[in-house]
Amino acid sequence: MLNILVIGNGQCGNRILDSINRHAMGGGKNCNKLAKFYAKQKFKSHVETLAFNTAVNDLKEMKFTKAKDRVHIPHLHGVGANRNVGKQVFEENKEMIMRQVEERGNFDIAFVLTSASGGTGSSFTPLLVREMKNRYDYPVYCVVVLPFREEGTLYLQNTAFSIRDIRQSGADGIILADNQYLKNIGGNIEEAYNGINDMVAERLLFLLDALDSEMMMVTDLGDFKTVMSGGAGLATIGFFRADKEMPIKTTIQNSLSPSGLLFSTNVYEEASRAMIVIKGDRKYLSIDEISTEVEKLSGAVGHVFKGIVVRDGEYPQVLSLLTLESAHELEKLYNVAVQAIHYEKAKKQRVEEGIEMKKTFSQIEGMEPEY
Amino acid sequence: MYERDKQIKTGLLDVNESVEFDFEDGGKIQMRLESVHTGGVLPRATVEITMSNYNIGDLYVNEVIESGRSGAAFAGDPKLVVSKNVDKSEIEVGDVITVTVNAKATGNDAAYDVLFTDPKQEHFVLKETTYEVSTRIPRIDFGKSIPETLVCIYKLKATEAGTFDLRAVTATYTNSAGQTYESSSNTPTITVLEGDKQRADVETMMNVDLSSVRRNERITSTVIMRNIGNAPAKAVRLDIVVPEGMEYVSGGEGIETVGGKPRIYIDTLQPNNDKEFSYTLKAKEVGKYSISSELSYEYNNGVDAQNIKQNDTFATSSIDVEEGRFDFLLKNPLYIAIPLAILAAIGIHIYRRHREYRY
Repeated sequence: MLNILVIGNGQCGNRILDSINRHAMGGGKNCNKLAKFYAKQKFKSHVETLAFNTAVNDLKEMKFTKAKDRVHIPHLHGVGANRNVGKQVFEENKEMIMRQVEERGNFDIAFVLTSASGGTGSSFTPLLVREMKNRYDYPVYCVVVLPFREEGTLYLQNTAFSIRDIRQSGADGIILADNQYLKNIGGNIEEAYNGINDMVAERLLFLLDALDSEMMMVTDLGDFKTVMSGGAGLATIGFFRADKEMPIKTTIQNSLSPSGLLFSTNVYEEASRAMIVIKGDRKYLSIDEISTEVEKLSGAVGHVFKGIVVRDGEYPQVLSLLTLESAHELEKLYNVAVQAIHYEKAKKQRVEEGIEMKKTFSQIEGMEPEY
Repeated sequence: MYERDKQIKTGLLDVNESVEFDFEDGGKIQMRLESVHTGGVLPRATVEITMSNYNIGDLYVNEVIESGRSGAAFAGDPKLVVSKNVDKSEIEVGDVITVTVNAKATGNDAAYDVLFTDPKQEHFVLKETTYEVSTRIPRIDFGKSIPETLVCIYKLKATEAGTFDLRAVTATYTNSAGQTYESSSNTPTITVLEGDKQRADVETMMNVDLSSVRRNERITSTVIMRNIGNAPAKAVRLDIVVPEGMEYVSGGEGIETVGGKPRIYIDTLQPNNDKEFSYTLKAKEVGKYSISSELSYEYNNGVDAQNIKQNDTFATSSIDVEEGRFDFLLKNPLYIAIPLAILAAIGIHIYRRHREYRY
């Protein structure tokens, strides 16, 4: 049995972590709010979860994560999307944070969930990963959520620097999930956020399950590491769960299609390595169809690990993990982020020079109030 | 009987029995025992001796007994004939008859110190006394010319149907010698028919709405009281006897509880009227029960001065009380203890989970 640590940093990381815990109680995203009173998380592996946040209200919103696993980093109410403040808070509380990690035990693998754009998550994650890599020898992978492009310049520049910092922190890989790409889920903003959180949680849970399942064809932690070590250290996940009888061939294709992926990429052009985990009733798992699709993918990306988990009575489900050589979408994001940085810089310069306000106050130069 | 010193005949006589014998040529002597008196110091007998068809020459006086014939006084045997007469011999209950008692002396002597005794009459009540001799009558003379003596006139009221003999009037009296005599009157027969005697008859019906209930369930009983007689029933009271295994809960209007026991009281229940009551009982114990009641009332039959009291008992059909829905819990406390333990465990579990997840 694998020992797995899942850490959620900041509001976004906390919410995804809570969603993972909720899904693990059974019933998926429709899990009853009272399930925590009669059910408990059913992970295949030994999974420890840990949530860090400077905003206590974000921690309070979590419903399916145990209180002892929710750690408030005291700094008023959040760092206000300022990564510099976040970094400072982390340094001030580093030992307390690492003691929490230490107390959870030793692990075979760790995942850190975070938003790249926010304050706490985007600033804590690189520093946390660096400390973990310094202190422990297990691989640490980050699941990073990219912001809506229209969320503002601060978030965009945070995203640019945060991803860079995470890459430089020693993380063993970054799995990207893009809110911009996933917002076509529809509904209001809350439903969109919740839907994205659920999508990420469902895929991660499937992945954790697959890493520790007895398979007809095996993919294990070693395969996962190999896949994640390929490409540019960036990856994303595709997933499709059939809700009716469906050929496995179609299910695999759907998992690799834009609607199945967490990040916009042209799989056959940008992917470097891949792992495909197939689950379902034996009657749906046509080896010929699976082989055909895997061969088609491996023809484009190189090596493809495949694992098959037989589950009686279940419709076919496919999870595909893809590491990327290049990420056109990420380049576009950085272009926008650079513009945002320039915009913020110019604005700050103007404020510092006081040009606008000087004009305002100069109007009453040499005048006195008359009563 | 002796002729000279020779005993000719010997024997005993009963009263009014006689013996005859001849003497000389054609002479006859008859001796008849008139009466025997035992009330004095010595027993005495009155003997009548009659001599006939004899020659005077055949008679001679041998000896005159001292104080015999010359000192004898006549003491006869008075006889009172007492008659008891009624004006009607066939009547209906409630009707009145007039009784007249007369006495007439016969025999050969007057009756002295006469006392009449008329005993009380069953099945009749004395309605009125018209005439009555109040004290002893000192003397009633005998003889055809002496009229009957009126002893008493009174009226009797029949209280019961049937054929009855009036009791005889007894007269006790003495003759001139103080000897005691007794006479009894005749006993007239009176036939008393039922007639139109009024009565109240309270018919009571007790019903229950269920013949089978579970323990702790309720049952409603209905009481209907109807006077099917022709006289008003008064002071009608029905005491409902609630069996041990049941409990009186409440009753409708007209039902009061005295000492915890339900009671229905109706001042007057007119003929052909009915009243309905209902009350609720609760089954306490398993078993087979019947609710009984004790009815009492009184009425006047239009004949008697006193009201007639009636008592009766009634009961409902049997009611089966079965075990209550949750009685098995009482029989086996584990049925309570185990769920409570489970609930407690669930409560503790929920509390611990709440503590575990509360932030």
